[in-house]
Amino acid sequence: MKLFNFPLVVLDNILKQIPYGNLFLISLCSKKSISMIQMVGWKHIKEILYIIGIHEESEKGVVFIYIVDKLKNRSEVFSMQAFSFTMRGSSEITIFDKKTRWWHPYETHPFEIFLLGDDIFLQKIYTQFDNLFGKHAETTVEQLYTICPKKFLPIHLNIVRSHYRGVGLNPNYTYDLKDLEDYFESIPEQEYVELNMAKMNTPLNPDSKFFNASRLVMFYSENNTEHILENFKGENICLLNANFQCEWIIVQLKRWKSKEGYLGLKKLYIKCSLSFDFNSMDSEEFEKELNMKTLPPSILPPVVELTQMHGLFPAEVTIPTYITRNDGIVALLSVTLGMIVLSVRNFTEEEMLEGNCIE
Amino acid sequence: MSVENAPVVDVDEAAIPVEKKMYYRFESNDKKEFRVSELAIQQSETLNRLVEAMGYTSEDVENKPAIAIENIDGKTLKLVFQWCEHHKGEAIPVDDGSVPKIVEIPEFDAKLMDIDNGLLFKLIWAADYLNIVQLLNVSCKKVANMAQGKTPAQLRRVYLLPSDEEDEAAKRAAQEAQDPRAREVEEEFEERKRQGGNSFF
Repeated sequence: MKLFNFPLVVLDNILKQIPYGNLFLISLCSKKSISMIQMVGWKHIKEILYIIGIHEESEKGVVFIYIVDKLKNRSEVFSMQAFSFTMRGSSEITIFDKKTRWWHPYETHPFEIFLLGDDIFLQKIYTQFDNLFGKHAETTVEQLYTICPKKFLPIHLNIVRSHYRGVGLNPNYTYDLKDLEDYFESIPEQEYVELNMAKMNTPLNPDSKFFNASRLVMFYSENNTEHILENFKGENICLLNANFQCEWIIVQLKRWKSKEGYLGLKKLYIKCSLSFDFNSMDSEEFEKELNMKTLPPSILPPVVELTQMHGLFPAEVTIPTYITRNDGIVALLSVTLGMIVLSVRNFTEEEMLEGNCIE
Repeated sequence: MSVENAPVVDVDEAAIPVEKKMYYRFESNDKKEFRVSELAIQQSETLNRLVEAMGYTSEDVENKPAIAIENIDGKTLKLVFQWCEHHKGEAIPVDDGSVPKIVEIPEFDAKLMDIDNGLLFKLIWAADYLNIVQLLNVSCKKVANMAQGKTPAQLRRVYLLPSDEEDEAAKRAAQEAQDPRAREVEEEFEERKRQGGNSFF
């Protein structure tokens, strides 16, 4: 069956029915195979997600490659065992002239390749995969359990989103901030950073590119959160299951009001954890300290969308109250039990009242 | 070949509405003739447009010569029309652009396509040429399925994918094959010029 002899429209139909993992293996056959697969365009692929959990010292780890389409459907393409090849039932495969093992127990399921600790081999796979399907896709790297050695990460790709997930095998793992800083120095400024169950050994360098991320989501972060927030230069902050002193939050909002910090901030969303002292949350104190005002009756309180995560938190909130910065800029502020939302608008209080409008 | 001797594709006549009960006659490039119901023809956009444009009556269908399909042989055309008769009346799928394409191969189609690769190749060509969307989808799915569980070396054999070296060699051979003709044309042109002709043609 000579694949190249089919008309392009037929070839396109065939290629769109071959699983991505098999297309990757076909691409290894020749340069012409690569061009043939690229020809499809793959415009529906909006994101390539690399989930990487590699711990070099213990010689344990795995890499998953996922494709995310425009409808946010995520499908696993294949995975790679970073070191071992002791899997029973694995067989030989040659990739980039390197003999290794692979495991594909079910033909229709994603297969697994054994990397044998070869980071150069891994980098070639990243490059080839991005070359095939990455033209219209953004790159997300999610690091599991630990901070991975840089040589195992696809840092030569245009990574726009970085996730750290400490959940799982090692809940007591503490991130070495030097590795984290090193990673962020190696990649472009991030559009989105997510820290999940993050414990850190030292404060991050305030000059780290980490703080320039556009959006930051922290989930169950136990220490260092205040330091991170104080130095954040991006637009959106979302702290879920957070634990703070209310006084500290008031101080931060005062810093915004006086333009001492958070100059680029557009939205702040804090949802406190169950261990938070809810009795300490006195909304009257917020109103008094921050000079909170209520929108006039002629202005309909707007609905502010919130960051969704695991469906655990509200998707939106209606906010009838606001504060103003010292240059007059308005920010809607909602303080309810265990939840604080700040949404900065791009007009002054005077403009808002004159226009009788909040949008 | 007379109509009486033409291979007739199995037809479930009870499933055909009375007003659609007209059979067109088609002839393959190796002079095999087929009678196909009007409803089955609707699976092929190309043939459907053709018969619509012809505007044949029942008498025309019997009295006029069979419609020639010049680039498909009888063996392939038989499979095509068997497929069309089996799926007549079914909605023609619209490509919604979703990738990967979700296509299931029904049992009948799987049996129909239990053929050698050479014939499958011709069937796909025919489905594309006659614009039979679902037949093209299922036959392409059959080719796509051949990739399952294969290493790059096996894929190279299954899909006859040449290596980079083989591609280079084929390219060189094509250039070399093309050059003598180009030289011949050039020499002929020069010769005509010498003879005083103004135009090459």
